[in-house]
Amino acid sequence: MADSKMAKAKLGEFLAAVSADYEVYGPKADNGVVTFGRIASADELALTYSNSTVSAKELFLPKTETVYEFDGENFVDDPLPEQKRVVLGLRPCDCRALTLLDGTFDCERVQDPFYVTRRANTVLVALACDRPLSSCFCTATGGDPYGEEGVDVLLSDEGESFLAKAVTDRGKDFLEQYGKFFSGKAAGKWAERAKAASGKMTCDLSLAEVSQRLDGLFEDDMWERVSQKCIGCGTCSYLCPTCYCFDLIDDKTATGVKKIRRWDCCMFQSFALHASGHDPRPITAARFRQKIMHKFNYHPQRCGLNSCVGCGRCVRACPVNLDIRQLLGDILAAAPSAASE
Amino acid sequence: MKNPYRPILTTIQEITIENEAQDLKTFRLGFCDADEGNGFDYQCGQFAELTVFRVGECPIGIASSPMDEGILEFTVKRYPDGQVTNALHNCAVGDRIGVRGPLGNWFPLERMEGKNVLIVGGGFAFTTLRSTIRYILHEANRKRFANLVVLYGARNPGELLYKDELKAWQGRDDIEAHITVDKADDESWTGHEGFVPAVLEQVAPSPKDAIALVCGPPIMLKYTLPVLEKLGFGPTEIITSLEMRMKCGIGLCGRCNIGGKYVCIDGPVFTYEQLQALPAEM
Amino acid sequence: MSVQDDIRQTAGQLLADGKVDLVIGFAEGTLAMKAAPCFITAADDVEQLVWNSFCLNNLAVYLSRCFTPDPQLREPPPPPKVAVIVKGCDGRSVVGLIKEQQAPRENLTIIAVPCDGMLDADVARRVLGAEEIVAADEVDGAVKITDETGKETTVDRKELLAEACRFCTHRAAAVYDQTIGELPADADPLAPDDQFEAYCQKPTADKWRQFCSEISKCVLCKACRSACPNCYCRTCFADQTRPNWMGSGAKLGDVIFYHLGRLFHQAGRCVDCGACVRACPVGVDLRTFTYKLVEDAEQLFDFTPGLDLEQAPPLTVFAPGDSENFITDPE
Repeated sequence: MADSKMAKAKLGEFLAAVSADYEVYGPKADNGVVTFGRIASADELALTYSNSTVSAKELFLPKTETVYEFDGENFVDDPLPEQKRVVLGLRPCDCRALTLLDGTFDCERVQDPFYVTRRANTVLVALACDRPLSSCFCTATGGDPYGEEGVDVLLSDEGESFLAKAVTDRGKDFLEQYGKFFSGKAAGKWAERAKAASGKMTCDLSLAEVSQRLDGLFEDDMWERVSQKCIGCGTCSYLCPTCYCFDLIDDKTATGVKKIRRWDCCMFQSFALHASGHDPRPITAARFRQKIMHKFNYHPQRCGLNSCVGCGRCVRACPVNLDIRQLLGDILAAAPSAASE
Repeated sequence: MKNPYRPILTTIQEITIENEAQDLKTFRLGFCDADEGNGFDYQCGQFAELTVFRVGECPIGIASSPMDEGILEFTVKRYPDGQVTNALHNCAVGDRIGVRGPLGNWFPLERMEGKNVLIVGGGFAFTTLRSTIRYILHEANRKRFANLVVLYGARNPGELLYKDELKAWQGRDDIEAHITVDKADDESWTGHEGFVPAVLEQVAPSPKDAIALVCGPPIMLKYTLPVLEKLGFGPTEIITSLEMRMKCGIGLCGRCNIGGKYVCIDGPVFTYEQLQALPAEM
Repeated sequence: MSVQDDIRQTAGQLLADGKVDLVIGFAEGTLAMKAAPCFITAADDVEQLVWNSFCLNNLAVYLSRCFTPDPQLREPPPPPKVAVIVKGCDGRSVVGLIKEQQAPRENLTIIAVPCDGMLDADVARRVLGAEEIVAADEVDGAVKITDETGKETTVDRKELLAEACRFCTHRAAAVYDQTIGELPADADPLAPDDQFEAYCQKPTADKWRQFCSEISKCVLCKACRSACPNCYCRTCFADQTRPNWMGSGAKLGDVIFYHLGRLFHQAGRCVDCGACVRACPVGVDLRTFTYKLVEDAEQLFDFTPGLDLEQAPPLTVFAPGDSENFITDPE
């Protein structure tokens, strides 16, 4: 079962069977916007999409989430998200992004119980990319359209059927559990299909060196120039599968409070503003620098990897066409600065 | 799995108005659950996130000393735009406050053992320094440290924190306390007059076998650090504490970066050497 | 001379003569059917400026930013002299900003250019059912589009117009210092706005339902606010701490509150440029609701924003003849 196929005609039946054991999530399309949501039947699934508009991050770090509730006298028991889930049809870049988020929310120093519980209870059945978009750049970040990092089961759309491959033990168990929907061998096809897909990637950057290049660039005068058109809208961060900054907010209840964790963004004006009125990053250029440095310099310093999987969402959605590929390309192309020599 | 966002419940036992402007108050908190209180094991220089339920949370340095058994104190400045600091200032004795912590790193007291200790503070950034002074002065600890010199300054006599303690320190022979004000508007003032860096130059404490802890507003740090260098304190012998906006306090929310450092987990305590390596984004 | 060449020449001249410090225009984008806002400060760089059918952004959004110095500078530099390339909608926004004292008239050089309506890649994706547009080539109103599969389709440009452009009537700026090419006259909308009409015909309860259902898609990034030239408040009500108006966004009511607050601040000010809709990363249809305000300003107060520097905005004046229908008769 670790390497087999499922005829697409069986998808409905398969989903019904999986739904009996798990909450099933998958990509849903609404007027060209693809987001992840609960899937009740196969026709709700949008499996021909290139990539979802909003990343699958929100299934693990929801836009808003109650991290505790206090009723005025006592704490209410934490509502840990313990239901078993399957996410079907997310892309390998989003799976890889979750492994990066693990480094923050599930590390030796601290574990976020909500994130950790969701990760532990969720099987990721990814759908490999056969048609990467021109704005995709996963290979530049070390990923791949057929990448397996963070993936439990990898599917590949072969037309009439999905090839299926178990990547982890959890994936193997999952495929065995629903073995009756899978048959035959797909071995031998994977390498060929993966090669064809990565051959379609158009971005020839390699971001491995970006972190080093940024070392001496904090004081560089480029930040003002490159961020001039940025309107600080935060769309890039909200769609990004690896951006995780959040705010903690008190929502009043009748007698107490719910502490809400909500997505936030370092591009927002109020993000670092002190109560005293002092703002260490008072202008767009400083905030933009923080964003780029955090992803491509500070994060690698802490966790060893760039906080970017090249999904291209920020490239596609930026209302002012501030293309991060161009910026990173320019940084790589520029002569190493005096400071980093 | 422990929920790192959930605070420990305390009640306010005592509120002291510290200054004439009445925007600095010290809150003494008592743990509602003794076990939780015993588990709250902190060091000088650490901070905690204080919650006013239904309003929010903010990071405040711990002003009491780990030797003050069963006592947890925070001195809080009220800012016009600060939701939580205003709510705290509106609290009364008996009100419930959430505490998350202790958080962050602390002053390197082990490294300071056997050495002369210089403590330089300005304004309301004196709180964790007061914690440290109380700790060193404790009879169980005093012998572990050599000379203790304190220089503390405020805008005017009315703005000085912990006035009773300052007075008591000046009467002791195991601490050399220099108190200064920018401007002595009070004729009975007998301490120094002048800014902290200038008074520091006059007092000129010896850098020999000494470590300096310095906390104050950015402008004070800017002029004090060079004086310490001039006196001969090395960059690893000067230790300071930084402030940034924080939410989670545990290195997750991405808010308190200064360059690649998170003030909440890599700080708030930094040596001058570390400080010099950080970008100017404070 | 083409409009693009003329823009370059004009910008170069203004910079070379020292009449302006900065020209805000458009540069080639990195994606098909996109142009990018650009900032030119040296006459040598004017070759970066382009003019094509993809210059969608409302450039007025940058003006209040240009004239708001770093708040922590002790001695802020004097306000710059700025030239801005404007279509009809940008031009109307500029007028609003001048009237609301966000951009000093004397520091502005408004360069009006002709606009035939701009083309929107997202519209093209929907029209063609494509995942991505990889190339677009326009010849005489016909646009040859290549999608991600390599398939080429030729479409009438009218079908690819950005939503706001389809219904635009004021195609040229009314207030300007220089013109380039021949400015188009006001025109009727390209097609009746069926979607909007359908909304207006609904009973109040159904309007509210539509509003709530649309707003429920919002992720509360507030990109609509960032993209809007009218949203220049130094501290938005949604970010204020004392008092704190907004909930966390965990409840739909919080999201509704934000949008109602923002929308109502647009009454009599919105020029229907569509910047908010295009900035929205999750496709919330804000236009139906902002356009209702545009129509209300017209019908109730006979006011169209951005056409005249002298006329006072309707909500800042009281006139004995003002309509009171909305007070007594919500329908």
